[in-house]
Amino acid sequence: MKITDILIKLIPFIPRTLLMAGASLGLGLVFGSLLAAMKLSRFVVLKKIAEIFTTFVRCTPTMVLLFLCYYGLPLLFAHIGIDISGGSKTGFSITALTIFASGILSEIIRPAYLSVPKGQLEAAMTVGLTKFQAMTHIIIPQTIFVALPNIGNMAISLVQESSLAYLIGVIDVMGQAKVINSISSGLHIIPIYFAVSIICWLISLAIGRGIDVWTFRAGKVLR
Amino acid sequence: MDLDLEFLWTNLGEAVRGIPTTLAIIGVAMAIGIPLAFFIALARLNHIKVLSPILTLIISFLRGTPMMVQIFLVYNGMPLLLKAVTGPDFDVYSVPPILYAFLVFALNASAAYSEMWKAGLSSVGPRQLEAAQTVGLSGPQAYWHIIIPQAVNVSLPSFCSSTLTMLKNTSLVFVMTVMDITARAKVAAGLEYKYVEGYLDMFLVYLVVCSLIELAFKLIEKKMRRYQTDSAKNGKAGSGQAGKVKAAV
Repeated sequence: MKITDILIKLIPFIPRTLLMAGASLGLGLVFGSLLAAMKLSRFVVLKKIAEIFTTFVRCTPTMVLLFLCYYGLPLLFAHIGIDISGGSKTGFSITALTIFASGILSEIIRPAYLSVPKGQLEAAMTVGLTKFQAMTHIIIPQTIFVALPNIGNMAISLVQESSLAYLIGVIDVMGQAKVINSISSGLHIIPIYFAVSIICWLISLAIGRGIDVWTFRAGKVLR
Repeated sequence: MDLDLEFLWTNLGEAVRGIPTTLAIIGVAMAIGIPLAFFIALARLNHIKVLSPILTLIISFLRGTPMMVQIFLVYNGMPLLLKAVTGPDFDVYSVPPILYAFLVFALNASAAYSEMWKAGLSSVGPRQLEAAQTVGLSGPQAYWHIIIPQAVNVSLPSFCSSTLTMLKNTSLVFVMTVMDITARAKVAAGLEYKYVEGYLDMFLVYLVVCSLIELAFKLIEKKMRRYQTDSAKNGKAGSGQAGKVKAAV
């Protein structure tokens, strides 16, 4: 089997990998911002909860998180009476990756938010914007601009961590590679994984390039 | 919660027995990776003719592909390579799989650490090197006594987070039948089908080991603070912020 044949067989499964990485990035940004807001709040209780959650998530291997979600969440929900053990495996892996992403993203968004000078908020309110308008039009765009390179790194990490989802049975690029491997009785294992590595490498390069271009464009507008 | 707490406790002892293997993998990876990364960073910063683009390509590959794929490639590919190099009489099954783990993680560590060295070395600046050579220090002496301490001081937080990421990635070596924390906890839990307890044990052990490594790095950071100079503190504004953000990650 040539590498090109394997690549053709793997390409239809790229959308699933991108779906997992993209959904966890999106949800991770939402929850990461929430965590960052908790860490910056005045209430010590919220701060402590957010810090403990972040430490837990940053110190856990993604695989452990994945399996805890897949085996543990149905148990947890069974106690409340909801049966989610039949839920889609992709959903479980997105949940685990979201938890992983939100922990790290909260530590990216928080310094980015702190790096925007406080004077911007005051100046905006002097001109007559409400606090909400000042946040959405002035502060948050600058926060996103500062955080963008690291969010890009996070996106690349998520694509790589999503390759672990095959361990719970998700058929993405990695899962399909395992299937092809078992069909061909392990004879072509090196070309198969070489093809997987090329696909992931190209996706990472594309994301990296995209983030570079986006940062450059956003920088021109904001400066 | 349907959790078997007694099994949780006994399995913890089993998982802890995997800590030496995990630490050995990280130790070897750092011992090989840190010096290798230093030279890679030097080669890339000085734009050495043929070496620099090749190294950039290799590093981009190592950082852009999932760890799982790299592990599979080495675990399946290295025996074939060894057989091709040493001839048909060599028994590839006699090679302990932990050596493959050392190889994969040493390569990955050098790729990750070379980025840290690059950031650290470029923040020190060429003037320090010139000044050191003016005073009469040779090249290696200048690097060892002047440049490296300052570079390490700048890049230590990112070192810490890279090492923690590597610790988390060592959990994947169970596919190579290397008996680390993950493998031991999994096997012991699988015998009684108590998977949730097994993974909770893994979670606890990794939490403790991570916290200890973080503590060790904080102590080293305190010791290295005496090398902090104004030139390192007032690096480019972008690198300052990026350094803060990277440190937070």
